[in-house]
Amino acid sequence: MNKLISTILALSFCTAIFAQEQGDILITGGTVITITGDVLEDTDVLIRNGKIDQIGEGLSVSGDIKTIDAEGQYVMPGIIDAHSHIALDVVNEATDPNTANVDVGDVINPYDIGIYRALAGGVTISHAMHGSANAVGGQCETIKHRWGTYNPEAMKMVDAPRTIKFALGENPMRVHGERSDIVPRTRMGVEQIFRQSFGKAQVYMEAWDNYNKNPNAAAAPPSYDLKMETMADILRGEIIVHCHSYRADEILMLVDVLRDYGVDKICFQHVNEGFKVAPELAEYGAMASVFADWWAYKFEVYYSTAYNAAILTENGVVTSINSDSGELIRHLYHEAAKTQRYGGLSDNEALKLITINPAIQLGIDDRVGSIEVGKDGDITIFDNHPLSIYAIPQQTIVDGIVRFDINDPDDMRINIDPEENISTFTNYSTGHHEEDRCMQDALEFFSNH
Amino acid sequence: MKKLFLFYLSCSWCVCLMAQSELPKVTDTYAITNAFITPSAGATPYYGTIVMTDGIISAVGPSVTVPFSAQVIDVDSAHVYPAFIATLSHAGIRNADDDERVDVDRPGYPPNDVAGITPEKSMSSEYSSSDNSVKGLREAGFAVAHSVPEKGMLPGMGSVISLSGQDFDQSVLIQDMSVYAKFEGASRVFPATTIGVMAKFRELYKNAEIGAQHQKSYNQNPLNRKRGGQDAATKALYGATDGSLPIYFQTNSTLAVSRALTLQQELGFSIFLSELKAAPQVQSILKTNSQPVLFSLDLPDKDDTDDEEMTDEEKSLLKKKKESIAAACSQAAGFAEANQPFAFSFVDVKSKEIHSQVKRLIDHGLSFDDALSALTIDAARALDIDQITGSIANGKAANLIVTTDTLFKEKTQISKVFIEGELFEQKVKEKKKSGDSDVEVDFSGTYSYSIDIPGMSPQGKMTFVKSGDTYEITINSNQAPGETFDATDVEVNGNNATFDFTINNGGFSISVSNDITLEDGSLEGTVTIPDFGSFELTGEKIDSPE
Repeated sequence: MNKLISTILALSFCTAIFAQEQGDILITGGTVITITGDVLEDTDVLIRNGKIDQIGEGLSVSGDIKTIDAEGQYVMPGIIDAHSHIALDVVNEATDPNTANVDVGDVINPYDIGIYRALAGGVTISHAMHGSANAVGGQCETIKHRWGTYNPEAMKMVDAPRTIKFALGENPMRVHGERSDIVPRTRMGVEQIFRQSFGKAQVYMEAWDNYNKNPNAAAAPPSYDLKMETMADILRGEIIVHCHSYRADEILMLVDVLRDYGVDKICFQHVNEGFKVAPELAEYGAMASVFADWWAYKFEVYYSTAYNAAILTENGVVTSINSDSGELIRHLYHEAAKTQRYGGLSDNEALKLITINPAIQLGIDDRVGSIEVGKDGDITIFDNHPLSIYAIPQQTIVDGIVRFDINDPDDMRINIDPEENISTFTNYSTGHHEEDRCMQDALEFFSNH
Repeated sequence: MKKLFLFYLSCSWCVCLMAQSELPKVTDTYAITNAFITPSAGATPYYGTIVMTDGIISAVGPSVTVPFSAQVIDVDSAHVYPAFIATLSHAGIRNADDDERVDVDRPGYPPNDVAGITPEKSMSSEYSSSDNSVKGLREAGFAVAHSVPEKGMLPGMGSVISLSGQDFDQSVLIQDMSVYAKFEGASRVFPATTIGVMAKFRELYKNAEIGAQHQKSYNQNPLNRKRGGQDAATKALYGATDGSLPIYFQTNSTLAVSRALTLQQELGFSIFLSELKAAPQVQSILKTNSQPVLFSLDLPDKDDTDDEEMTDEEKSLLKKKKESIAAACSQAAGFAEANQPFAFSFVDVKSKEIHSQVKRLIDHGLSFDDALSALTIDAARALDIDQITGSIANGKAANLIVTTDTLFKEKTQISKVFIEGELFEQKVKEKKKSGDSDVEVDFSGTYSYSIDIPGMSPQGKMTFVKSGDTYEITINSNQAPGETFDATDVEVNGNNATFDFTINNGGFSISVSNDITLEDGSLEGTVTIPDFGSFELTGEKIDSPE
């Protein structure tokens, strides 16, 4: 048996060190919407080794380089979706009101055609989230849409901050209260889940601190509890909380809970009643990621307005517009444009909602979300102004590599199931909450009492 | 039919079986003469003799003296190969019924057994030598199997077992030598999904590390120390944390491979990737010189769809699908070409299909030698039993097979299997006219039939009624007057029909499978009754539908 083991130990696997491809591209003559600076007419953008290297007029580059003529076109930073469930094999581990121990980064599916469809909508980064079945859901993953890789690790945006899903209201109440007859059955119960979990995590941290101070003491080591490890990391400020929420009272409730436990990294998701408590959110530094105009799909989501994003923005809340849908993610630029009709945001304010603001919410604004020298070469090129109803993405570039081109072949799947049924019917998920992936993998929990 | 079945149990047939096994053996020495011997995968075959004494190969070569005490088996130029080794299987694991739903107060904290977390489970309590899976593998030419329990994310520990059909303690070569793991969620309790399984795996493993370490330091100095104390599941993983227990991970796709390697890299256990199926690019993920991966032989079905009526789009989809099927069948060949070690796992393939599936791999570019190697010496190496088996050589266990022709040819059959010198004779059948799928035949009508079972002759009527593309089949047996049995799983292909029917007898039911060919109004085929054998069926049409 020794021989066997030595053979195995001698092996090295290479998944984690999969090189993440980076390219060189020169985009010439476009109208460059930088987001954090001016709109630059007739300007070139040079990407070297996957990073934006130069921005300027008539850049001269020595040697061979892939060049895209963007004359008459619009060059903007890759769109970022702060709430999505594409590229995930599992969305909910709906077995406990707190599943902080699970991480959807474990189930990234790089073959999901939804990634390519998102690229066709100009989206280069999405926040792949756990669902909303549990008060404390699983950890989420910020992914770059590097379509074409077979390796899930290569989809991850390395060094993006850790994030976790929380959820308020009806979803955790239904899944756990109604089905299993355990807390939370009410909104009060949801609050208790947070308080109990944070409280236990404090005790857990203390137990390990005591043990580590003197490991040779009489005590046996405490049990390792992955759930508590994650809760402790939230308390330490290492994880950004992204919380599924609708009602204003609950939103304030969570702010109170987080304030009590000293957690300040919080971005509310959906936040349909955010407009009612926008000053309070701004004061706490809480952020908001909303739909443009989507509501009334369950009881707690009726009191809503399409002015939500604009009101939050005007009150100084860092706001983004997200998709939460494999369909909406293909035209987030339309969703952003709705804030001009409902709220009169400027072009740049509207575009911030799908670029630099979601980047701030994911803690990656130092690397993406605008066209600036030194940032990642994530670029979307439109034939018209991205807020025009006629805008169609032409090419989408991630790390200096073209991952979508409007002239791509018809069938862009990279992994074909050898046992698939041949069908030309394409199931675009059209509706919203009829096929809301927020509750994927949790639906069976309703069917059987 | 109940009576028929009782008949089986009580009739001379069984008595005869028992009598057979009680007959004392005349000798423990056998000599296989006039054999065309392939002593190991890749070696040049030669004519010669093999002598086996007390379960060990005592002599092999072109000119070997046969001891006078040997029972001589002249195989008349038949082929002899080393017997196969199943690197991973569920040999001896009875098909468990689906578990009843257990109500758990807190679904987030179920008992370990409900959650599928039983790494402490040993084959010593799970192995049933009389299970069909043992016989099935043996009939397919296997002498040794690494067998693991089946259910949950950590079903239990694997043992290496000799397939001679004796009970566990007599059969086991290496007990509890591995841990088996799967990305299999529990039903409605934690961990229900892959993310849950991965989280739970990490937590169990970390606790096993902590526990093993504490145990070690406690053993060195227990005074004034609190004794540790962890549950059986965690304790069972101590061996994984120090590398003495490799983990066989079910990784049936590229993504599963990535996920298992994510855990492996984080935690550092030794891993065998098993049951690998269509897994594009897995080679580039593994790079070279990795440990042997175990390919599943459950290959994707062929797709012979006629594309004449198809649109261009459908045609191109079908083309891609066919490429994907071919790629899945070519994976093993690709590994062989790149000198990346591999063997096979057998947990998800019917033992009767093993040879035809290996043949498909050979048709897709795997060499005969590499195929045989993966089934014999490479498998032995993976299990670290290559010193004692995996080839035909002096001093090794007498595990070998005698075949009617070169292995993996369509008509080749195994006539004898020796396991540690014990002979298992197999009835070699003249291949009956197996169904011809090009012939269009209407089975409709009623047939009289009789089955050739020594000492008795069950007879009856079989009625085929056309129903859509297939048939409804009812059976009346003279052994069970007044009862009618309905066939299930009816499949008709040309002039061949296969179907099952079930005899219920008190607490247990037995599924009887039928494989029948119709020609000129005559039926001919086999009826297979688990644990009893296969019997010839003949019949004549006696009535046509109106």
